[in-house]
Amino acid sequence: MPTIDSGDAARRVLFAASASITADAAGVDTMHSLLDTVWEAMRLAPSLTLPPTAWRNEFTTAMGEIGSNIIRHSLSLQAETLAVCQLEIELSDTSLVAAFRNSGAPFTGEIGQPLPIADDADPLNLPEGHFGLALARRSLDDLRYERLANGQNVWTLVKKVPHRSQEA
Amino acid sequence: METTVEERSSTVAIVRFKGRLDFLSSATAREQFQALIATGRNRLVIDLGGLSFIDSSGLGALIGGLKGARQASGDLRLAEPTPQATSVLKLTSLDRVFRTYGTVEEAIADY
Repeated sequence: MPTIDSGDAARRVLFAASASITADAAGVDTMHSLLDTVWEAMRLAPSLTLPPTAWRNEFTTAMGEIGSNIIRHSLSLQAETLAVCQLEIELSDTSLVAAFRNSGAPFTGEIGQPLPIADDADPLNLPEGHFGLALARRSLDDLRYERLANGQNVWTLVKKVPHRSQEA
Repeated sequence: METTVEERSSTVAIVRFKGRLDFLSSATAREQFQALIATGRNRLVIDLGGLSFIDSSGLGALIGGLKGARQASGDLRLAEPTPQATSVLKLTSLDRVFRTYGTVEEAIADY
């Protein structure tokens, strides 16, 4: 049963997977492993076509950025037990969607912050951080954050599946 | 992540990464760059061919290394970037900042 709100109620879900992500190196491994299962499912399913490497890399990049932000924030809180977030991935005939759900402090930054690296930037004045969200956003078709009434944070990452005519 | 350092000469060093260059490993990478520059090896070549993943934290470490090398009158160049590394460099416009080469030897030869 699909639980992700991808904004496309008419979609046909082809594959779904989920995992608990701990706030440590193992959690990062789990995150990447879960995505590997998606690529394998796409490769094996007769009704699907494995998207180009570039497309997959972009989604991996975005998921890595959002996931690592959640994990890093949890680590900075130095909780007695490893904080956990739930990662759900859903592949449909129209899009690949990942949703990170966790409890804790709300995100108060600006999701639409621009990339702080200008095309003509002086290398000696380049920022060394704070551009992960912009990188994630540029890698996706949609990136959403929602604070639910029950105090849960939900990050939703959406990338449209390329059709055969767009693969070249 | 595994890191291998080859001190090619008194001014040139090659740093090879294997695994993920992300928020868990970026601090170590930064320290490695700083240590090499402190020994006078201000011409760095970073072999990205063994990376399975790089994120904005990893890019930040490369930027920090680039700054340090250039402030020491040297440079930090990238070699053999993986497709995912090439993708993030382009998405962040950092492909216009870093000199990138197909092989480590090409990067060294161009110094």
